[in-house]
Parts: sequence; structure tokens; C-alpha cells
Amino acid sequence: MKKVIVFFSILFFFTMHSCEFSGDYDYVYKYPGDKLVMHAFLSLDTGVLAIITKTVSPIDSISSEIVTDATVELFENNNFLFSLERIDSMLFASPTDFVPDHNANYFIKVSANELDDITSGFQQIPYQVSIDTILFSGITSSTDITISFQDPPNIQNYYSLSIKGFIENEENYEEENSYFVLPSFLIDVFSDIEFNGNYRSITKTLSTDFSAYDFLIVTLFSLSEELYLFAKTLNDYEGTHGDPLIHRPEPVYTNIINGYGIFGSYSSYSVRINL
Amino acid sequence: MYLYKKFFLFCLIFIGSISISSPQKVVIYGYIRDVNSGEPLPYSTCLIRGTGHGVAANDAGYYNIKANKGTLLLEASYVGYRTLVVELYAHRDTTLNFLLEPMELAEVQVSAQRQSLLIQSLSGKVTVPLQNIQAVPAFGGEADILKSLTYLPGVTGGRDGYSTLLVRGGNPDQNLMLLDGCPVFNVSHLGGFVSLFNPIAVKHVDLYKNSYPSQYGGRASSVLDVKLRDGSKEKVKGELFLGILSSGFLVEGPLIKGKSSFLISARTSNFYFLNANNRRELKETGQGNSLDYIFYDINARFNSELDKKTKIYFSIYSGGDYIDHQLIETGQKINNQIIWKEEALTKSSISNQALTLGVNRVIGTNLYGNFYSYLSLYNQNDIIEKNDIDIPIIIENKTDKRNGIAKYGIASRFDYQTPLSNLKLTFGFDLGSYSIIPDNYRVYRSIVIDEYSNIIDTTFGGNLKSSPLDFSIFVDNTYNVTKKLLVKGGIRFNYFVNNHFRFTDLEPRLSIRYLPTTNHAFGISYSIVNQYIHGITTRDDFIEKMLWFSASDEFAPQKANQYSASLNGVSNWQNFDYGVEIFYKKMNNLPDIYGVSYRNLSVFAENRVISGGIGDAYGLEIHIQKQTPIFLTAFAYTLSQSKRQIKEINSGEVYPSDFDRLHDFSWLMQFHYSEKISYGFMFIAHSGTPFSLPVGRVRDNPFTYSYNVFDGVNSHRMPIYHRLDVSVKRNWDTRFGRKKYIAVSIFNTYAKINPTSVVIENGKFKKKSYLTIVPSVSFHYEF
Repeated sequence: MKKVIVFFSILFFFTMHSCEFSGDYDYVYKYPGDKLVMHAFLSLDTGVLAIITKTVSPIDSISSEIVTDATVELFENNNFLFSLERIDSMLFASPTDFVPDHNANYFIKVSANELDDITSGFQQIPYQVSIDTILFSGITSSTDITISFQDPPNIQNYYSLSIKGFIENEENYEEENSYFVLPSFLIDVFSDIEFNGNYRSITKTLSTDFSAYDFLIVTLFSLSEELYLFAKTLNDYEGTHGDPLIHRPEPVYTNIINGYGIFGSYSSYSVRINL
Repeated sequence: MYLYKKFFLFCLIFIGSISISSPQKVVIYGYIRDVNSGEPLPYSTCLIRGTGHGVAANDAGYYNIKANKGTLLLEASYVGYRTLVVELYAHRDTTLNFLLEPMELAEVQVSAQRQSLLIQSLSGKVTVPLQNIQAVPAFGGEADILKSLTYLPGVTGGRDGYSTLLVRGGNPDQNLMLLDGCPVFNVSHLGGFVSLFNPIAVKHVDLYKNSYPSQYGGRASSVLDVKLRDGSKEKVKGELFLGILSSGFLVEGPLIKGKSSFLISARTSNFYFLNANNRRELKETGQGNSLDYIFYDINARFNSELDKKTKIYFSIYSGGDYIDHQLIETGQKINNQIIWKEEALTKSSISNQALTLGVNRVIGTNLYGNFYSYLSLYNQNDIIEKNDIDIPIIIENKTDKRNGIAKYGIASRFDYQTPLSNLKLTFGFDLGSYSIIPDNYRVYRSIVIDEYSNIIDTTFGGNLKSSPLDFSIFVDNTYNVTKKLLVKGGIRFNYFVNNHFRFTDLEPRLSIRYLPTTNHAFGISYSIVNQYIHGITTRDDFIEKMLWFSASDEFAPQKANQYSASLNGVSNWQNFDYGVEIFYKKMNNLPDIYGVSYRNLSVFAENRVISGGIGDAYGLEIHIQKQTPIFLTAFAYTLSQSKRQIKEINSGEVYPSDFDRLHDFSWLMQFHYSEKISYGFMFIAHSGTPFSLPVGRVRDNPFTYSYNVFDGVNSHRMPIYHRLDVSVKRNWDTRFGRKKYIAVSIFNTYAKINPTSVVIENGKFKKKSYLTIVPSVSFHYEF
């Protein structure tokens, strides 16, 4: 009996000692070098906005990702249109009077010293889908708001939904999902695979208290396929990164040749709701 | 048409060779069985002493050997049994049945017995001794046949703890798993941690890494042929067991003593009892959080000898995994009507059934026939519901994912001893009909607000459903050219049709074995195998699932060409046996999934399934085994590489396959300390598994949060993997002369963190694992 107790005690000791599932790994890593990164969006609302950075080593927390000498060129139907203006250290924008052509194809080229040039894939403004009805009851911390629209048949469509609250004469707003860093059209994206060609209603339970606001802006975004894939894979990457059971990580989608990031396009339909 | 002509011409050559006149011979035939239970001993050997001529029995233990008239010394042997020698004066065709005695634990096979096993040795074929399977320390207290096979060279198990089988660089779907002749499409429980083969019910396990007899086909990498025991024809007996993961029983015995028998085994998981309180609370209050998981297995086999020449058998397997998770919260009620409720329900099930009904008949003195029909069913179903009531709003969301495969078939195999004593033919056919649902997805979404409602009810994937037909005929010849030289050649003709798509293929098979001495066997082998049913592995949380789908114009059949050469030997010095083998395998049209996130709605609807992959695998395998009365040890070493190339992955460049390991070493040891205590050890070490490291990081900016970027797949290696598993078994005799024993095992005894992934956190590399040390205990009682 004594031997059995000793044996199980040793077994128990090993079990308790072993509750560790992670450890440092001394790996000699050779960083292959910086690459240009572009996250750029095309829309009728804002023209072209682009954030230009470069990659850094994944184990480096000091180096800067800023690219100081980038040139960003926009092409329409393979013809050079203009260079985007630098707004700050990362942001570039098209001139305020630029309105993209619905039927034209656009791409962007970026160049910088000591970095390989990058070129984006083509983008066209997607077909705009309108919001048909909005139903909600009051504005409290647990309000449900139902947005309905008709999905065009025979084509693949991609969407996201955003709800923002505003105070009159103020530019600041509170946004549903405001704790996310991403632009609102990249959050909770979905495709029409479940309801292609049908009337669709989506109900959101508002977790933000909008009672202090004067009006809401509800926006239905129609995304290009590339933008949808980028948003979806970015979300999937977040869910699988570091998972010990995932053998191959989910790569974030890119349509940038020789670099990383995304050039995507969207159209939007907004409804103002006075409170 | 051209293929048909080639095939029939090939058959005529075989049949023509039979017409050569031969000296007058006698035929001795019969069964080789276990003396205690009457169980036939598959692939046992019978040889005529002093002539060097011997034959292997078939899978039903039936042998047929031609000899000159006169006095003969016939020797029958089988792994784990004492050799029996019988003197026979044969002047005419004679039936002779052998009844072999199992060896005691302390006995070893003498070299003469092991030499006779060289008769059966073929390049790429392994008959797995059940003793070795039992010697492997059990993971979670469950002796597992698939996990035990990973100690063999050329066989790996993928991730830690999983019962996946990867043979010579192949994929998990490329293994033909047969249970009493019936193909099985899913062989695991508990998400892949436990295989469905219950070891206490198994009689024989053959693994073909190459040298497939032409009766087998349809899978590109291997054939695992598992035979269940018939059950004792002499007395009723059984076993009860209780383990950490599951508990069960086995009972066997005669229906008619000496003529017919039955065997029934069942096991079920122990987890159901852990959730009793939560289940009760949910039932009584209508709300709560309850998670139930159960898996079960039932094996049953019935056999009867109708007469001395005819035997019928019926084998059934039924098993499944069921998960039921309910999370329900209810709020206020008005006039007994709920005005607020949230419920999240997840039901997941995997079910498997395999049935075989067959008859064996000895026809005359030269022909043995086996005719059987089989039915195999595999279904997966996941239902996720999320329903919210917040009067006046009622929202229902339901997704119902189904996939499955069924095959019904009839098959036959005939073993014919030709008038030439050194030529045997095996021929037959297999006609099967499939019903396949790769990915059927139903989405139901309903919103009701007072008078307003919006309902979406969509089903997609129905167009993927298929019912292909699969017909094969085959012929094999086994030709002892001389006492030392055996040639086994065969050809299999396949006809596969799926809607308008037809595939016809000829598959030649060739194995040559040469015995330069009585202690050595040299072999070479070549085979072509086509695979018309593809499988891709997906994952929901920790549960691995296989999606099966048919070859079509979009997904061409997989094809594998394999060459191998081997040298096997038995040594009188220190009683050790060894084997050395080299192989090369080329695979085409491999399917894969692009982007492996488990959040995919439907891998087919989202166009995630890709095809056209190419695979290469080559290597060297070494196996050494030594046995003494108290000691068994086996070393296995594999030096190999396995690569893939597919257009959509890694920019179309060649990359190492997911579990490619250059060096793979295992050392198995069983030590009988006394009659009552035995110890088992298994040490495994292999090169690091490939993984993908980022080539850079994109930092946070106003348009994105940070993420890593990858360029290339599997371009780095994890650290060297090693672990030690140990087990100890203690027997007791009970008052009634029965046996009971306790087995304690520890997986990964020194708690090594063998990573399954490497990530970067806070600027440092971190290795992550989901398994370190896992102790377990099981209790067995024989009655």
C-alpha cells in the first residue's frame, strides 16, 4: 500500500509540474528585408486614401515603419492620372475635387528609395445597394436596430454595416464597434452567399448608449471582392494566430504585387435617423 | 477499348500458363487455427520441410499446398504461436487442419520459425504483431492500433496524440482502412485522439506501404487491413475494462460448440457522467450551461461453419461521437410567456457503420472462394442555433452542415492453386456504389418584429452530391520460379463513373522476392494506384474531420507510382531480425484547402478546395527487432523527405509537406520483470516539423491593426522532437482462476514541450504545445 501511495504521489507531482504549454524558443532568424506596404481605398465619398508604410522585422519593436520618400501614383484605365498628395507621415490622398468614374479601372503604383516598387491590382467602384427599411425601438443601451435591403441577383456582393451617432454641429461621433481600430467598412463583413438575390434583414443590438446623441447615420457598404477578402482574412488571422493546433497560419489577403496590403474599393448608402 | 483488350490479353497469358502439363502431385489443404478458440490464423505459413517449398495461408487461414506423393513433414507457423510439425503419408489429395498453440509470454520464436516468416516477406508489407501493439504505452489508457503503428518505419502520426496515419509522405485520405473487408471512411473518435479499432477485438493487422495485392485499390498511400476475431468456438469468456477515457467490455463464445461463434465488444466514453449536474439544472430550470460529449463503439461478429467446406460470417461495426452544448438564459415572463431569452445550441455528430456479410467456400481441392457484400456509412452533422427573444423581436439563426459518404458493394476473391505446384492465382472483382455529400449547408435566418418578418432559408452544396459507381476486376499470380525466387505479379482494372465523367485505368503490381540464403530475403516492388475518392481534412476547434468528395473533371483522380526495394533477415546471433528498405513515391492530382481557417462557411462554396498538387516522397527505412524470454526491443529509423507543389500555395513553388521529417527514430521496449509485472517504454525522436514563419510585420495604422506577413510555406523547422512514454502492467490471478490487471501509462514522461506551432510574442519566438505529460490508468478484468 505504501508503495502505491508513493507511486501515485510521484505521478501527481509530474502532472502538476507539467502544466506549461509555452516556452521561449532560441531561433536564429534572418529578416529578409523591408517591403513596401500599402492600405488604400477607393470610393466616391473620399476618392483615394492610401496609408504607405513598410514592413519591419517581426521580432523588432524599435525600427520605424515610416517611409519618408514615397511617391504614390494613381492610374485610370492604364493611364497615369496624378500623384497622391502626402497629408502626413503615412497618409496620402487624392485631390479633393477628384471623383472616381464608376466604370473605370484604377490601380496604384508606389515607389521609394531603397525599396522595391509595388503595384496594386485593379479596382472598380462596386454597385451601390440601397437600404430599404430601418426598424428600431427607442435608444437605450440594449436597442435592437433592423436594417433591410434587396440584394442584386446574379452577381456576388459583399457588405458591411456601420452605425454612428452624432451631436449637431460637431464632427465627433460615437460609433458602434468603436473599440476596433479598423475603418468601419472593414468590420463584420459578410457576403451574399446565404441570400443571393433575396431581401435581407440584419438586426444589430446596439451596445453603445446613443441616448446622448442627436442623430444616427446608418451606412450600408458594398465592398469589392478584394476588400472583402482582406477584411475576412484579417479577421481570420486574428482568430488563428498563435493557435497551437493551426499548422499553417491564415495569410492576410493581398492584391499588392511585390509588397503587402490592399487596394480595395467600396460604395456606400447612408440613412440619417433623427433622434 | 484499348485498355479492355490489354487487360484480357494479360489474363489469357496467365490462363495459358496453366495448360502446361505437370507431374502427378497431391494437394494438401485445410485451415490453420488457434487450438483454444478455433480462430483461423490469417496469413500463417505452411511449408514442407526439406523442400524449401512453402505457402502462406489466406486471410481466412486457409492454405493449399501441392507436394509429391509420399511421406511429408509439414510445418505450420504463425507469429506468436508454437510451430507445429506433422508427418503425413500423402498418396492422394488430403484435408489437414492445423491447431496451433499460443506461445507463453516468456517464449520467443526460434530462428526457424522466423525464417518461415521470410516466405511472406514482401517489400513494403508489414504484418503487425499484436504483441508489439500491446507493448506500446497507451495514450490516455487506450491501447490504440493506429498510434501503435507509428513505431514502424515510414509511418508517422501527424500531431501529438492524434490517430492520423501518414504513410511514406502520403496524406491522411490516402490510406484504405478495411475492417473485415469493409472500407471505413473515418477511423477516429474524440476529434482524432482515439481510433475506432478496439484492440481487444482485433485478430490481425496488415499494413501495406507498397506491394498491394491487386485485390486492393482506391487509395494512393497504404492499405490497413484489420481483421476481427471470430470469437471462441469452445467456451464463453470475456473482458471488462475501465479507463480514463472510456470503458467497455468484450464477450465471446460458441453458438454451437466447435461450429459457430460470436464476439461482441463495446466501449463508451466516460465524460457523460461528468456533466450530470449541469444537465439536471438545465432540465429543471430551463436555463444553464450544459456540455455533453459521448463516443461509443460496438463491434460484433458471428461465424458459422455450415459444413467442412463452407463458412459464413457477419461482421458489424457501429460507432459515433456526439456533442451537445446548450447555453440558455431566460429573463422575464409575462402571463407565463417568455419575453426575453437567449439560447445558443450546438449539436455535432459523427457516425460510422460498417457491415460485412460473407461466405467462404472450399471448392474442390484447388479453389477457395470468398464472396461478400458490404455497406459502409459515414455521416457528419453540425447544427448551430442562436435564438434571441426580446419581445416584440424574435430572431432565429440556424446553420445545418452535413457531409457524408456511403458505399455499398459486392466483392469476391478466388484463390486457385493451378496444376503447377508453384503457381497460384488470385482473381476476383469489386463492384461498389457510392453516395457522397461533400458539403451540404443549410442556413435559416428569421427575424420577426410584430407584423414584420424576414426569412432566409438557403441550402447550398446540393450540386456537389454525387453517386459514382466503382467497378474493378483483378488478377494476381504468385509464382515460385525456384525455391529461392518468388514473383508476384498482378493487374487491376478500374472503371469509375461519376455522372458524365468516366475514368478507366489499369494498375500493374509487381513484387519479386529472392532468398539468397535461408536467413535473408531481398525484394523489389512496383505499383500504380489510382484514387477516385478524395478526402480533405478540416478542423473545428480541436476536432479534425474528413470531407470526402468524388473525382470529376475539376478534381482528377489522384495517382501514385511507387518503387521500393528491401532486404529482410533473421539472425541466429543474439536472435535479432532486421529489415532495410528504400522507396520512391510520386503522387499526382493531390487536393488541398487554400487558407485553412476553421471559420469557413463552406470550403466548397467559398472555392477553398484546390487540386492538381504534385507530391514526391523518398527515403530509407531500417527496422531491427530483438526478442529474449523477458525482453522485446524494436528500433525503427526512417530517413526521408516529402514534398508538395501546388499552384495556389507558396506561389506554386515546391515546399515540404506538413509533416515532413528528415529523421524519424523510435525505440520500443517491453520488459517482463516477472510473471506479474511488465514494463513498456517507447522513445521517439524526430527532426522538427516544418512551419511557416513571417517574413515581416505590418504595424498598426489608421487602416489596419498589425499582422504578420508570410512568404512561403513550411520554410522553417521546429526544434527536434523527442519524448518518452512509459507503462507498467501488473497482473493478478483471481480466486476463480481468471486474470485481472492494472495498466498505468505516462505519455511524455519528462514533460517536454514539443511545439505544434511557433509564434512571435513581444518580439520573441515562443513554442506552443497543447499536450505535455499525460498520465493515465486502466483496469482490466478477464472472465
